[in-house]
Amino acid sequence: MQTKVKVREQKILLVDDLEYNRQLLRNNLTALFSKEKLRYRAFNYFQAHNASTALLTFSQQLPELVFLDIELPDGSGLELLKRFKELKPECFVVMVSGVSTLENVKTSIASGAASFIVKPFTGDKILAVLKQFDRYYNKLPKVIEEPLIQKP
Amino acid sequence: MNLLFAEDDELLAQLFQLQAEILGYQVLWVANGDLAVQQALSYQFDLLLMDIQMPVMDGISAMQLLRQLGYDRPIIAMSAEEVPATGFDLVLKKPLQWPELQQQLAKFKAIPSIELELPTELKEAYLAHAKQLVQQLATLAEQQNWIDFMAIVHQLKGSAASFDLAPLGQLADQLQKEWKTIPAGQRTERATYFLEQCKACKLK
Repeated sequence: MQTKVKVREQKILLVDDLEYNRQLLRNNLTALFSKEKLRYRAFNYFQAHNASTALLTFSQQLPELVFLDIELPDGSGLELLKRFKELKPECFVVMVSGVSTLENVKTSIASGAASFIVKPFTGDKILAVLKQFDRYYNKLPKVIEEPLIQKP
Repeated sequence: MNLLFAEDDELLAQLFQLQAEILGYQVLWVANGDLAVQQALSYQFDLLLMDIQMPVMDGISAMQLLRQLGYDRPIIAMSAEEVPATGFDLVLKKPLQWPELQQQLAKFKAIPSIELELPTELKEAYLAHAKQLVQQLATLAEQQNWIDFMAIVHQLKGSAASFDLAPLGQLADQLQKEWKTIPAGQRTERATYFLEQCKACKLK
């Protein structure tokens, strides 16, 4: 009997208080995943409009990739970043901010962020991050997928 | 082709800029590594030329930070000293010799820009949202509620350009940069001017 292999779908969490930004990001991620030569392209999207929803969604879904706005209405994305990295250290977190000071960038990296996008979003900025994610994910030790049906 | 030239020697930068622009390159000059990183993250440059000894942040640290952030576009180091090449695409020895530099620059090509996908519905929805924000700004300016006023300006700065409203984003960016230097007594006047400029952007 052939054993079925569980295919784990990758999860992306988008955290931004502005719905338009999340939609824009999602549209462009989908477009880039299908157009560009990236290894990982099957994704499930989750969205959160504030820090508390983001933390809840993150702990339930444990996504592989997160776009996290630093300036959230009910808290700092930087604090959230630390929690995310505690819950899932290998998670690839991209900080997003309208404030491009180097202090912001350095604090993000020190807290475990993999990358940083300075708003406004452009196609080039998003693609650069996806390519980086692709390289990063490819280097991660692969989890051996457990067969869904165990042979007796 | 857009070049970012990071160099603390202003005269050298001016000379480079003159020569490169004659050849048709667009050049932005920054005087330290900190500014180089901030500019590079706009992903508007095809090539970075980085001096090594610079104030605030040196060229090697700037390059390493960019690489750590996934920046995969070419970076050229320029130095009178020996420089470890790891992370750089090329190391040029100072003093720069223009004919050689010209040859080396010619090896790098402009990087095609990826257009942001913007469905009409989303663009229109944002436009309606932006109009509302501008109205809110007018009310907040009347109330002289500058904290909320500037929070909205910050939001416009970060989002307008992605939704095909770059001029609005630029106005917001400019206001945000100036704001701290504006005396309290002149804020209303400056805010009114900003709102007039926003209306001139024709949020149709």
